[in-house]
Order: sequence, then structure tokens, then C-alpha cells
Amino acid sequence: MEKLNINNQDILETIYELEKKKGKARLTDIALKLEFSKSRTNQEIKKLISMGLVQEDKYGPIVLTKLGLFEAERIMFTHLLIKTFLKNHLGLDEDTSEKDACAIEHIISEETIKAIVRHLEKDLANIGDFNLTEAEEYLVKKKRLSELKVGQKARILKIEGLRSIKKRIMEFGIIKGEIIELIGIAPFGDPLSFKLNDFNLSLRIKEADNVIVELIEEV
Amino acid sequence: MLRHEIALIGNPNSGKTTIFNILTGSNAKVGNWPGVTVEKKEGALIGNPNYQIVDLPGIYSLSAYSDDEKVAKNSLLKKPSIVVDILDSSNLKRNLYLTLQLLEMNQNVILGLNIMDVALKKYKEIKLDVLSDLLNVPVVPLVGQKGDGTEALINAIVNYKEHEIVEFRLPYGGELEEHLKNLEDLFLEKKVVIAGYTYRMLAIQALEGDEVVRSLLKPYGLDDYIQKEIDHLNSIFKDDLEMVFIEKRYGFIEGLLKKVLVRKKTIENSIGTSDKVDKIVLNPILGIFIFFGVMFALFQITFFFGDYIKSFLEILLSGISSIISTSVSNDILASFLNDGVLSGVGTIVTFLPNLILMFLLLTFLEDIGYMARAAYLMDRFMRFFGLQGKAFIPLITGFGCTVPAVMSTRTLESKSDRFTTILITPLISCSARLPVYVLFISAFFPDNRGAVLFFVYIMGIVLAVLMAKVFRVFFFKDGAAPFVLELPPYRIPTAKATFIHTWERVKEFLTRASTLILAMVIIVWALSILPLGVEYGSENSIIGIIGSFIAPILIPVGFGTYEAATALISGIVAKEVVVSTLGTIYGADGGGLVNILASEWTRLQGFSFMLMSAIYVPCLATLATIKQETNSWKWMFFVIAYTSVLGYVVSLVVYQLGSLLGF
Repeated sequence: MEKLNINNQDILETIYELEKKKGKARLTDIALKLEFSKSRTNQEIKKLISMGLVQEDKYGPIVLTKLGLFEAERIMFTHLLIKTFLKNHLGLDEDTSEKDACAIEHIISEETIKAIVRHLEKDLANIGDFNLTEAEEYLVKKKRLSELKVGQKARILKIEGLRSIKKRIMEFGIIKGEIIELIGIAPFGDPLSFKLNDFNLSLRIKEADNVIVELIEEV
Repeated sequence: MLRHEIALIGNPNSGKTTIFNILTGSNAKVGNWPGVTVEKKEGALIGNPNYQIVDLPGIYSLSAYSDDEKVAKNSLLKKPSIVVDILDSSNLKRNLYLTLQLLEMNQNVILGLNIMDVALKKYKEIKLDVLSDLLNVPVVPLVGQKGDGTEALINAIVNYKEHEIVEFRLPYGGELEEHLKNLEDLFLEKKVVIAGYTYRMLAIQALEGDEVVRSLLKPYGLDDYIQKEIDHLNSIFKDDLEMVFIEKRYGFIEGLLKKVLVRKKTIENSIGTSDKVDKIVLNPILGIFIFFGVMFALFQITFFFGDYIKSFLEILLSGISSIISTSVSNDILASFLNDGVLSGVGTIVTFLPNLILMFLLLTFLEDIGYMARAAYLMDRFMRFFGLQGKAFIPLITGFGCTVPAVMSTRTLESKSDRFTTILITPLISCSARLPVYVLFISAFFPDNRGAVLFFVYIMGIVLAVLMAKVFRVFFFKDGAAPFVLELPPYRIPTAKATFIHTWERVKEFLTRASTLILAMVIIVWALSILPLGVEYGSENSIIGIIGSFIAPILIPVGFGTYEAATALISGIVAKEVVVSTLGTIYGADGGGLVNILASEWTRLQGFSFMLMSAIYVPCLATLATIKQETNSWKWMFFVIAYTSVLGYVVSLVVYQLGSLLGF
């Protein structure tokens, strides 16, 4: 997947929050919240549409797709995790925690996330309204198929995306519950080759983006 | 006697084509690249001429997305007597998906479990009787490469009895099953009758949203009801209903395999040979080197060895020629035999060694499984020009002959990918253009043969890729189809299969050469000698007159002579005819023709002409294929127009620039 930049992430997060609070996200509200101009917001949203993360009905609200929701929840959990850490463990005030979490969430590494989770686990079960284990699952284990590293195995959880592509992929045997392993990356970084059951196949990053998997820890 | 139509179907790489060859005894193509079997092939069952076997395209499912799938689905709807489904036993899970779809279409299925030798190394046991009982179909184990089990398969076909029809009903369970039953009942109530479909089939495909079935049901006024059912079920399953069907089918297969497969107790964690090889062959850096190494070796072997054999043939031909000259007293007959037949077909025959070697190597690469890897390795690169990795295969095949290359684009799923590839394939230098290059390189670049030849081929590739980009922008803007490509295990092809496959291709070329080309050479000879009494092929002959008429247009590109113009005109019939026409006009062949050209043309003129013949209008056979594959005259004429303009522009630039620089 094309890596999400700060703007992409902020907009996804904002849509997620607006959907939660107001039931729907309108362009005006998103622009207002992020202090972007309307035309800039519109441009940014076009980018997200081309990435398959949001949908826009004409003059209607902007809606997260299932993949968009997946990404938004990732960002939201990261945010919550960092904020909780800053507030509860470093004793920072609400405002500072919130602001810094907003900045750190975009660049934090998986290793740091893991370390924070280990640290919080000692005396916390929940962050915000969410279970810490659930959040960890989202941040460390759940990935898009395109995000696997060579040699990593994962269990397939969900296939999203356009109907025709989804059907093609699924009929090939990429089905919920199957174990799939990334075995190689082609020159120039794309397509990817996978081992699935008894055969090897190749998918482009664009297609692998639509498959959400759960990393299997090597025993 | 009653005739039975037997349809042969299976996934790509299931060894279906090998089985077809054994069953029919014919010399059909055997390949390892997904989708070699594009054409519908037919043949009678060995020893049982009243059984006609139809080889359907290799497909993974009957979704009717690609042309291959449509062809297969439509043939199946006509309900063949028996469908022989060939499966790769070492990869049963995915292969059985198609089987379930066949059973759900209510076909009379025989399962041929191929590649059993590999499967039995992988699993402790495959309980064929259990599989046969559970699916209620005959099951025959096969090892196609060795021919094992084919007797049993023939027996199963000949002795097939349409047993008491127990309709195969995959249990979808719960809510889904209930709604399927409701629909079936409704069809019964409304007295729906649609040929080829059972109620169960109709119910499943209607809920899957199959457009054909939906439109078939429209006259019964059930469309709204079905849409409501789909919406209702979509909301229950929180997913597209089609996907639920796919998951349920795979769930059923999972259960089936638990009863059928006995896995080995110790799970071997060793990496298979194929994966080990891929670690090197598909390595992002090494892989590219290997790829270009393979392509370079292909050319070196083809031309290095080919040239040896060629020199023998040339000696042989000049021997025959001198025998004719001395023994045939009639001047016109001698001229006919020597200037027409021998210098025409003879020239083509001398380049056969190169052709056979090239085909042999391409076939080997295809059969061993390297072609799919090439598509994988080249995908990102090809996409830079608006094509996908699979398009590399037609382009590679294009080095052999443009006709099968254009035909092989059928494996491309999206129309845009397919048409773009069809349009650019003629720019790839086919082997028929080789004699033209060889002639001109021998005449003008005797010291740099390899380098110049390599340049012409590379130029073709570069132009093809650039034009692909242009066509993408102007004609085919929509996005590319999903790229799901199987990387089949490497298989050492049997020598027999490789030779059969090569022979098929050579035969195809020879048939063309011996009929179409010979006919054209004789016409050109006649045009050269008529009206009676003119000097052979001179400006006063018919062909000279036509050539002289066109020649002025060609002055800016360096070869505004009637000889050159005439050769190009006749080359549209088939590219190699350019050489034979020049031979006929100059009254020489082989080394003689090389010497005449070298003395009458400048090096720059020769070079410009060679580039023109590489690019301009493809041969008639190619044009006919393009018409057939695009189903439109428009695209055929477009190809004629754009290749002519492109060839003219390239030659013009090269000649004018070359003249300026003083070459």
C-alpha cells in the first residue's frame, strides 16, 4: 500500500470521529475541524477515494469504506494508546497529552507501540472505552496482506474492495481462515508472491491491499 | 451410431492438454503457462470415433469474466454428454472449486485426478473411493506425463452410465438454504422452464447475481422478488452474497478433503525444490539478470547453431538450382523454377533452422514454467507502460510469430489490456522478419551482425512499449484488471511433449509458407515476367510499374526505387516475401543477392529499409487474426495505418539524420 501521509491519516481520523459524534461527516465539518480550506480538503478526499478508503455520494456525506474504517481505527487506537501513556504514566495534562498524541501517532514505530502496550498492561486493562488487548491486536497483529514482511505468515480475516476484484481473489482460494505466507517481492517492489495451501501465486500490492490478515506468531 | 460429445475441462497447469493429446492422439499444444489452451480444440477419442473430445480453455472458475471462462461456460450450457474434469491432485482444494461449479451445473462429471505421483509424495493417501462416493462421480487417478491411468479414463468415458440422476445439491445450510428452497419452489409454482438449467442452478445463480440468469428470469416477472431476496440476505450476512457462496463452497471442500486426504504424520517443513529454485529465479536482483540472461541465450543459441545448419542448406539449394539451369531447356520453365519457386521458397527453407531452434527454446521455457515467472518479474516494469505482466507473454511469443501472439492475448482479462496488447504485438519482430534482417545485415553490416540484429529487435520492443503507452492514454483509459497469477511448480517437460509442441508451431509456419507464400512468390514471378518479353522484373514489368508508381513517396526515406517499393508491397503478404521478392527482382538468392544489394544500395539506404520492414504493415495472416480477435475491421485498418506511418517516420528520421551526419 502507498503509505498514508499525515494529511491522509488526519482526515480519516476526523471522518471517523464525526461519524461517531454526528452520525455523518460532511466536507465542511472536516475542513473546519482540520482548519483546511474547502478546496484543499476536497483534494485530499479525492486522494483517499482513489485509495479506496472513503466514498462520497454526490452532495452527500463522506463515508469510510471498510478498508477506510480499518485504517481509521488503527490511527484512533494509536492515538488513544499514546495519549493514555502520556497522561497516566508521564502525568501530563489533558491538553498536552491530546496535542502530542496527535503529532506522535503519525510517526511512531511498531516497536514503540509494543513497548508502550507492555508498559501499560501492568496496571491497565482498558484505554478509553476499549480493551487494551483489542487495541494491541489492531496495532500489532492485524495488517493488510500487502504489509507482511517476507517469510511472515498470516491468517486471512476479511477480503474487501471492489466486487469483481474480491470475487477473483476469493475464487482463487484466498478465503477467510486460510493461512498465507509472503514468499517474495518482485523487482521494483511489486507484485508480491505468496504461498497459499498447496500452491504459489502472485498478487499486486493493489489487490493485496484489500485483504486484511492477522499475523501468526512463529512458535 | 450415437455421437457423444466429451468436454475436457480443468484449471490451468492441471496437465489437461497432455491428457487431451493422449486421449485423442493428436499433436495439440502442451504448455505450463496459465492459458496456453485458448482455442477450442477437438479430436476423436482413440479407438472410439463416435466420442468427440472438446478441449475447453483452462480456467479456475466459471465466473464468465474472461473470454476463456465465457467460452467454457457457454459450451457447458449446451450440456455435453460427459465432462471430464482434470485436477491437479497435489493442489486439490483450489482445483475442486471448479468441480463443484460443474456439479452445480448438473453436468455428468468424470474426475481425472492428474499428477498423482507428486500428490502421493505430499500426502500419505488420497481416498479416491471416498471422493467418488461423496461426490457421486467416477474418479480416475492419472499421471499424464507418463500416460498412467489413461486406459482407465478411456474406459470410464466409454462405459459411462447416466446413473439414476441424483441432483448434486451442495448444502448451503441455514438461512441461505431456506431462501434457495423458497426460490426453487417459486420457480416450480411459476412453471419456469429454461433450457439447460435446473431450478437449483437457477436459484443459486440468481442469488449470486449472475446477469444471464437474471435476464432469463425477467419474463417471469421475478426480478423484483429476487432483488429483495438478495438485499435481505446481504444484510444478514453483512457481505456480498456471491462471496458467501464462494466461502460456503470452500467450506464444503474443506470438509470433503478431511475425509479424502490422509496427511503425513510428520509435517515436513523442508522447502520444496520449486520454492528453492524460485528463491534464486524470483530474487528481485538476480531474477532480472537471469531473465535477461535467458532471453540473450535464446537469441545466441538460435542464431549461432542456426547459421551452421543454414549454410548446409544454402549449398544444397544452389546445387539444385544449377541442376535446373542445365537440365531444363525451356527458358520460361527454368525461370519459373529457379526465379520463382527456388528463390522464393528456398530462401524461406534456409531460415527454418533458426525458426525451429527458437520455437524449441520458447516451448521449453513455457513448459518448464518459466513464462509465468517472467510475467511476475516483468509486471511492474510492464505496468510502467500501461500493460500488465501477462502481456509480456504475447510479446515474447511475438518473436516467434505474431499470429499466435495475437491469439494468446485472450488470457488477458480486461478488454483494455487485451486490445492494447493486440495493437502493439505486430511491432515485435517476428521470426518471419528475420530473413529480411539477415539479408540486409549480411549485405551492409557483415562485421557487426549480432549487434545490429540486437538493435533491430530492441527497437521493436521500445516502439511497442511506447505505443502501448500512447494507446492507453488515447483509447483505453480504464484501469487494469486484477492481476492474480499462479506460479506453477517447475516441471521438467518430457522431450516428446516439447517436440510435439515445437512441431505444431513449425508445421503451422510451413503450411503457411508452402501455400500462401509459394502462391505469392509465383504471382510476383508472373508479375515480374509479364508482359511477355520484358526483361525479368525490370521497370517495364507489371511489378516494376506498380513499384515505380509508389517509389517517389519513398524517396525521403532513402529507397525510392521500384525494387524497394515492390519488395515492400509483396512483403505485406508475408514478411519473408520481402527477401524472396528482392531475390526474384534481382534474379539471385543467398550470397548472390547479398552481393547485389551491397553493390547497388548504400549502407544507410539498407539500414533505413531494414527498419521500415521491421515496422510497417504486418502480414496478411496477422491482419486477419487481428480482425478476428477484435471482431472489428476498424482495428485492423487502424493497425495498417499506424504501422505505416510509424515505419515511415522512423525511417525518415534515421535516413535524414544519417545523411546529415554523413553516414
